[in-house]
This record gives sequence, C-alpha cells and structure tokens, in this order.
Amino acid sequence: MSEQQMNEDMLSAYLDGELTDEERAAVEARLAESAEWREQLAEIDEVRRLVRGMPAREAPAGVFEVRAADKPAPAASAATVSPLRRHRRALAAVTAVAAALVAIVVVTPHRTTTHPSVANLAAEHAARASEGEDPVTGLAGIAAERSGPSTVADGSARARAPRLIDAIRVPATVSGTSAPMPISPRMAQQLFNRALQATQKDQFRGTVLVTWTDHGQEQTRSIAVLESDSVLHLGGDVVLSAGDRRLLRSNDGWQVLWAGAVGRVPNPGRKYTFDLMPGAKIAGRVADELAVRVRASGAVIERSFFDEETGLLLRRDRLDGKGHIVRQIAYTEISPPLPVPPVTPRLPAPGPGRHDRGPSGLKPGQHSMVAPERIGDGFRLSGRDLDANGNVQLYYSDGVLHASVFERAAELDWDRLPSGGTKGKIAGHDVQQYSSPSASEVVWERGGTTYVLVTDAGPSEISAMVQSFPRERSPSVVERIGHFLGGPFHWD
Amino acid sequence: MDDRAPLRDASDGVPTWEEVARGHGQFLYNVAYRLAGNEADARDVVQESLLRIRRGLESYQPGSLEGWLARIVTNVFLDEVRRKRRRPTSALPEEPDLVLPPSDSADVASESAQLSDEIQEALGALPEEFRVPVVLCDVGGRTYEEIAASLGVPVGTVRSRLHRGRKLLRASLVEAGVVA
Repeated sequence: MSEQQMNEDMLSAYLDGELTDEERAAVEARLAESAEWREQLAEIDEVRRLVRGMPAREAPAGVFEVRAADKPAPAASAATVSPLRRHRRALAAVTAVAAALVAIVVVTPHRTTTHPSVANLAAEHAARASEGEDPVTGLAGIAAERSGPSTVADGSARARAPRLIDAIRVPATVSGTSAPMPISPRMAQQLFNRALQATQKDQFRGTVLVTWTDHGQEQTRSIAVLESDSVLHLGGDVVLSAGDRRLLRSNDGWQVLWAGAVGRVPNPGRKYTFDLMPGAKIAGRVADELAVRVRASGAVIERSFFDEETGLLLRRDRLDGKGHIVRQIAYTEISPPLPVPPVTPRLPAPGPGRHDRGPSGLKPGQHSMVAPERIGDGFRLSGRDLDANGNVQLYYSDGVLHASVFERAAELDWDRLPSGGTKGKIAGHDVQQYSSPSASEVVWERGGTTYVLVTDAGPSEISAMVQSFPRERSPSVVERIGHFLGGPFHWD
Repeated sequence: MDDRAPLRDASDGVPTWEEVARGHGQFLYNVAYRLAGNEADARDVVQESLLRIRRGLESYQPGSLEGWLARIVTNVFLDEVRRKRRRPTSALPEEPDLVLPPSDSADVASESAQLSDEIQEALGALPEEFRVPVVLCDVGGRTYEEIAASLGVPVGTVRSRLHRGRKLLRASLVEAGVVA
C-alpha cells in the first residue's frame, strides 16, 4: 500500500475491524514503527471504549405507545413544546418527587446482599494483569479454569484441611550449569517485552501444562495454544487474545474483557533483584532462566524461562518464598520450527450474546468506596475502574506481582458463594478462600461492603493485603443510602 | 433478541410496529437517546420512528432488522434537526433528565451515571455529521456499510467522519477533565 493511501482514519477502522487484510497489514506495519501512530491509536481506543461503556438508557414507560395512526406525532411539529410534552413533564416531575420519597422510606430497612462469581472476577484480573505481558502464561490459567470441572477436592482432602496454596510436585529446577548473573530490573523487563513481541509476531502452536494445587491436591490441565494472525487461541478457543482485547467464551456467547490501561507501576528494583541463568531446557528448547528474588530475604518468588532463539516465554513458576512451586504454566511441546502457516482468526462478530463492554475509568471522588493508595508490602494502586458488571476494580502491582480488589456495596451472602472454597480467618476477617489455576481468591465482608481479592501473590503477601482492607473507615449513612440507590444487586 | 429472527405476521417480511416496539424498543430508544441527548427528544424520535413503520413509509429490505431500525431513527433524528434549523425558535429550556431510583434490574446504570452524563454531554456537542456515525457505530453496533446506507454516503466518508468524530469527542473529554 502506497504512503499516500495511508491516513489516520484507518486507525478507527482498524479498531472497528473494518479494514481489508492489506490495509490492516499496512496499519500494523506503521504502528510498529511509529510511536505517534501508537499514541493516536491508544487515544482513539480510549474514547471508543468510553462511548461503548455507557450503560443502556432504559426506555421510560409509555414511550412505545403509538398514538392514533393518522395523527401526526408531536415530533413532526416539535419546533415548540407541545401541550402533550408539557403534560408529560409535569407528570414526570410529580413522579420523581414521589419516587424520591418512596426511596427514602424503603432504603432504611433494606439490606442488599451479594454472592460474587469468583471465577469471573479471576478472569477480569487475568485480563488486566496480562496486559503488556506474555498473554499465554497470563491467560492459560483462565483457559484451564474453563476447560472442565475440578477433578479433586474430595471429602478426605477437605477433612485434612490442608493449606489451600501448597507446593506442587514438579522439579524445582531445570537450570543449566552457569552461575547466576545479576541483571537490572530494566533488563529483566526487556526480556518480558521481547516475549510479548514474540507472541504477537510469530505464528506458532503448542501445548502448555497448567499445574496448581487446590485443597492440597495437585491439579493439572493441558491447554492447546495457537497463535496466528495476531490472535491467540487458548484451550480450544475458550480464551482469545487480540491486541489488548481478551475474549472469554461464556454460556451465552463471548464475553469481552477489556484490559484497562494500567497506570504507573512501582519500580520492581525496590523490592526485588533479578538473576539470569542461561542453558535451561524446556520442551526441547534451550532457554534462559530469570529468577526474581525478594531483596530483603533472598527468597525466589518467580522463575521465568525464555526461549533463547525467539524470546518466547516457555515456562513461568510462582514460588511460595520457601523454594516450593505453587503454580506453574509450562510448554510441554511447541511447534518447531517457528512459524507455522497462518490460520484465519475466528474473532467473534458483534451480536447477540456478546457483552462488548469494558471497564470505564473512575475519577477520584466519583465513587465513595475505600481505595488505599498502597496495600500489603509495596503494592501500589495503578488502576481504578468500574467493570462491565458494576464492580469497582482496584488494580495493584508491586512491579512483579499483581492484585485486584473488587468492591461491592452489599453484604456478603455466604451461603450462595461458589462451592469449592475454604473458610478461614485472615487479618481478623472471616474469609472464604479459593485456589484457581490462575490465582488465589479471598472473599470477605466488612461494614456492608464485600471484597474479593484476586492475586498471584503468595500467602504472606495475601495476608498483608487483606489487612489493608478496609482502612478504619466505614461508609457513612449517606454513603450507604447512596450505595443502595446506585447499588447493583447481583454479581455476574 | 436475534435480529435475524423470522417475523411472523408480515406477509412481505415487513415487521409491524408492535413487533418492533416489543422486541427492539430498547435498542431504538437507546440509539435515539444518544443521538438526541435528552429523554423528551428521544421519546419523540422513537414515537415518530414507530409511526413511520406503522404508516409503511420506510421500505424494509430483508437483512439486519436493527440496521434498518438504526436507519429509520437516524432519518427521523436528522429530519428533526433540519426542521429545527429551518424554523429556529426560542424553545423552552430543556429540563434536566429526571433522576429516578434504579429498579433492581437497572444494575450498573446509575453507578456510572456521572461519567456517562459527561460523555453524553460531549457527544451532544458534536456536530450531527460526526455524532451520528459515532452513535451508530459505538452505541448501535452498526457496521460501516450500514451506517453508510443510513446516511446515504460512501463508506469512505463514514470512515473519516467516524474517526474525526472520535477525535473531536476526545478533545472535548480532555477539556472536561474526563480523560487525561
């Protein structure tokens, strides 16, 4: 495509999927080389999301009652306000006053309850945490979660009440023989950036094995991976990733989880150090191992293995700080040689059953819920959104690990929580804990607000984070009424 | 509702206004509201649209029903805009939208109401030639081809107006402090 034919109108059409293959390739090539185009794309994308995120306006009563067939509608001569409209307005004003009075009477004794869908919130967290990182290891856990019912968690396992997050029995190390080489956080970041680019650039297919523990029992799921034409297919198309979009197949179609823009993230060098060791072997390929250590204790909390040749992230381990792996995502096979022939991506078209709404930004003061700037050990607030289902999502990061805290102004209905969790106590709160392939989830309630923490961090980090919520501040009566009036009633 | 659902009692495949009101009224109203920017005008646009369907003024060609409805709403809205331009009046000031407590099913709506109002205000400030493509695409979920058919312009024009509309909208939202 000639330079003359390229114009920035194509950026909107690119986001809307309205370009020809040739135009799309030209736009992607230009985006790859032009920071200015990338910035413009991000700006247009943001405004597009905001408009799409506006809630549907509920039609007022009577709007669909068409008057006598041959009588012209008021709209046909609407240059001045018709008597009919004046009458409607007067009636509406009276209705509003009456409704407000009724609301006050009803609100006081009413207590709203909620029962969060933990799996959906885990998916929303994964969508966000995977932005700017390798989407395969970021999203394979969600594909594993959706790929079938849990195979264990039988009665005997529960009876022993083991730790929810436990070590898994995979080899603790597959490192080469070289001595660890300390590298800077910036260099470590470059490894992840290269992995992300490799995922977006190459055509490949493979299988990853997701391993985690639930109720002390090791669980594994095998997930098919196919990357083609910039669309990543996981778990037989249970999860798709295309650019910053994350699409999840749900019962009634495709659910689109927009990965909201992540704000400032702390410099990981404050809390962690990084060591690089070449010469590991993963799925028959030579890889460099990156170990992330807690600066204070020297404990390794993450190991990532990058393909030496392509930069792809081949394996990622989370450790509990005592040298035990608690969650692992690793390729067991990957198509050599890269790349494979492209297949046409099967992005679902807009239509019935597709919930094409992403998070919308919340401005300070817009929502009265508690949102500490910092929680746990060095986790900083880097995003604050209202998600498509009406939950406030607070997104935290310490530069390496991520956490989302979902808030809802309603009391927790313990009896209707998803099964498979374990009751316990963390930082003085009664909690229900879950362990899923992608993260750990903790649900609790305080002062009429229900919280769900979703994080890939270990038990001690979780405890410190829960302790930060909420601060010693309960919503005022006015806020509670406000929450009720504005309050959603069900978790989706 | 599936917009490809067969239409039952219309011999020539044209849906009746009752069917439209029952199955697609919410879609119709939502698009009308985002175009008109207030409840009273949206109500009039919806009712005029239903009247046109009832009088058989708009010819239906089998295809996307909501695409057809979007075209009718657009035509009614633009007719209304033109009429007001020809006969400018100092109409009574519009009352602000009524704030009613949400019903149980209103769900998310009021939580993001403030943000939504600010975006609506910015949308309303867009000239119609830009506002219509933005609303039809981002609220109505219409393709460029359907928008082009609604407006009677080439697809390339839709593409450029939509992009320019989004850019103007962004500038307005930046000014309002909604986005950075």
